[in-house]
Amino acid sequence: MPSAEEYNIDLANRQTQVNEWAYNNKMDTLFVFQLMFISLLFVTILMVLKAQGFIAAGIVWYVMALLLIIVIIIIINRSVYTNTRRDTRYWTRKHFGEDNTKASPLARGDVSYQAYIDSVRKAYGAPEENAKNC
Amino acid sequence: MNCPDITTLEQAEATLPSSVLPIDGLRRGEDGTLTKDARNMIIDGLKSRGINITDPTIIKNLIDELMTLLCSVNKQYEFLLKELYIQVKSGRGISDVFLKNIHDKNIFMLDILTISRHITNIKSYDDSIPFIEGWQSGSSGTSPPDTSALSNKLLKDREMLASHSYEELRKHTVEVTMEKNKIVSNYLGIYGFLNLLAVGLIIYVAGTR
Repeated sequence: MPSAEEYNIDLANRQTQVNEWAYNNKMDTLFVFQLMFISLLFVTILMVLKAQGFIAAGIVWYVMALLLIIVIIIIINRSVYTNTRRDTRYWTRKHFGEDNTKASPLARGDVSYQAYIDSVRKAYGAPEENAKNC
Repeated sequence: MNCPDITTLEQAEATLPSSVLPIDGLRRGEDGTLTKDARNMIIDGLKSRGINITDPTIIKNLIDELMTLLCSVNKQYEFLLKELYIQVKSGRGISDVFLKNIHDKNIFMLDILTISRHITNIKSYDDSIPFIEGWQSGSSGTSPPDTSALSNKLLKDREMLASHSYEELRKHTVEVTMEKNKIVSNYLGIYGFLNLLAVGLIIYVAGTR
């Protein structure tokens, strides 16, 4: 049974996580909204130009279709990534398949940061040693 | 007051030199402030170097130097608190060395405030407080910029660091994330409205050709 203080700490940490996730999710939505806004304005400008007779109708339809496809691809890509790959607790954490085996040992938390750095130094040499060799 | 920004943890943890305050070995009261004899020891140190601390120009220079130092230490302190905030937010353990660093910076800032107050309240030979150009009248016994609020904040921070609970900081973390959510929600509302306007504009342009 956790003490009142531990309970409060867990609650605050979890609430922060939830809020951070929601914030980033909204930022992602905002990105899509901004993208749509820019696309719509661009299309408006093209339509005005077409109405004035500066460009042909075919170009407007072509650009509109192209923009629509790009926006849809971006929305689907972000949606699929968030629903399948993104961690449900930490926004910036990605899942690499069923058992997460493709992530680096450091990302999986299998080795400590120091052990990881030591292994890299062992393989490639410490920066000071490399400088001396040069 | 202008002082360089702190951008890395190394810069934030660096010890800043001071010609007025010794690095270590000063006696303190229970609340962390310098005792009277420690303050006098610092003043004696200045006197022994031939600094006349009853001369208003010298006092002004000393205070200016201390305020510049306070500004730099404050930036270091703020950076370290932000780092502590990040560590608390991530739920990782916080090292004692890191906490000691923050505590030391806090105490150093308190020392600067204490000494600057002490210097401005030193009476000259005729028992009057020298007038320092740029400050409020010396006769009122005022000290450089309002430091009581900062002193109180430092005291609160020290209590938080000593308790190791960071309850206030956690509460603050939650509040900050909620505030961030509110702001981005407002942006979403604005862009939703702008998108509607853009669609309306397209319909309008399409209808008027």
